[in-house]
Amino acid sequence: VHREGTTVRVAVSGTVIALAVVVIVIVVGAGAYFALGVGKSTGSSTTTSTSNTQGGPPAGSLNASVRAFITAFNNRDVTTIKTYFTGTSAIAWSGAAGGLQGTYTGPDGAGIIYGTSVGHTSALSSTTTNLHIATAGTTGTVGFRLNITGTSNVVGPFNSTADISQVWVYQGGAWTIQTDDWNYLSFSSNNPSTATVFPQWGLTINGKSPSLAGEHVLEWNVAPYLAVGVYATILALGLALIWVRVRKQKQ
Amino acid sequence: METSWPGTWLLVAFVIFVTVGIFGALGWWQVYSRKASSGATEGNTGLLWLHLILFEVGVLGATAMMAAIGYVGGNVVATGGSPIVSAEAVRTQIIPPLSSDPNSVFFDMPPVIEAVFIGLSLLSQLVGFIALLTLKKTKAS
Repeated sequence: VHREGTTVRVAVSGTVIALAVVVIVIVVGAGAYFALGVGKSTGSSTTTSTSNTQGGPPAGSLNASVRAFITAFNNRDVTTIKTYFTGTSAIAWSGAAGGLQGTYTGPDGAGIIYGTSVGHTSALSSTTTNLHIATAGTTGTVGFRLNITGTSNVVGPFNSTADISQVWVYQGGAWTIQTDDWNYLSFSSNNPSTATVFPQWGLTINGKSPSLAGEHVLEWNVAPYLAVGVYATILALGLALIWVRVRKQKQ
Repeated sequence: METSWPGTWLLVAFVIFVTVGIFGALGWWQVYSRKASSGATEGNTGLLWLHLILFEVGVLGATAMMAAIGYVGGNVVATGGSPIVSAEAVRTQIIPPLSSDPNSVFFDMPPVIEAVFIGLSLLSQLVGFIALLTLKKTKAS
């Protein structure tokens, strides 16, 4: 009986050990399975947590982006300004915009409208007031008023006031401008804006000195003399040709 | 037909191409043809070729640049942009500016290139006149 009892105890211990081994193998195998990232299904809670951490905008990031955008505007940095716009960005400038009112699309549109407004200035200073920023998920609405003074190579000294409202979208880890609406309340400048490459044209029509606009002033001043010189040379050669021909005919 | 600046340059380009490029070439053909019929068929071959090449390059280049200005600038206006802003598209999207200084001539390249091509076409007229002077009657063999 003693031997049999001993035998039974040994048999029970072997079962327990076998079960323990099986449990250990399962735990270690499962741990290795997840630790190595082989598992496809991570559970809904893990997925949600990861998504919120990597996809959402960091707190205060829109505020920083808006201020960086305004800084780029003040620095007349059109290249940086363009980076805030995507292919679907819509830009609309209206009101007393000094001839710049219109609609533009994407980075190229931003490049030409901001290039025209601040890209041709030799000095610029703007003051931001009434700045308000609201964020809802990955969308932000921004509004502010800009009082701008500066000196343009085209229209001379100017000052203007505009109310700006923008919709920003957080995508690809950065805030971009989806809509950019400028409502100009006022715009005044020394020289008139004209729809032509040569601002001197508008100045001359308005009885002002063409030299008031720095851009293209060299071409404007030199071109007439150059043209007269070229045409005079051609005319002289033509007359010389006729003279030679008449002389030969007389001989 | 309704046009507005700078899209008007497309029309200007076409008119200049027809008047200078086609009728100008016809005019020179008449001059050389009359000279040849009068027996003056020997001349400086290099000058004659130079006249032809400069004329074609100058006229085609100048009118193509005008058309590009009209197309690029006109596209801005046609899509709701300002004519004043279209000048910036013309300045930056056809030929990149060679200078970032707004007071430099090379800050706005299309007018510079346009002037170069017009200069070439005018130079071709000078070369043409000189080439005419070199024409002489063929010596009888």
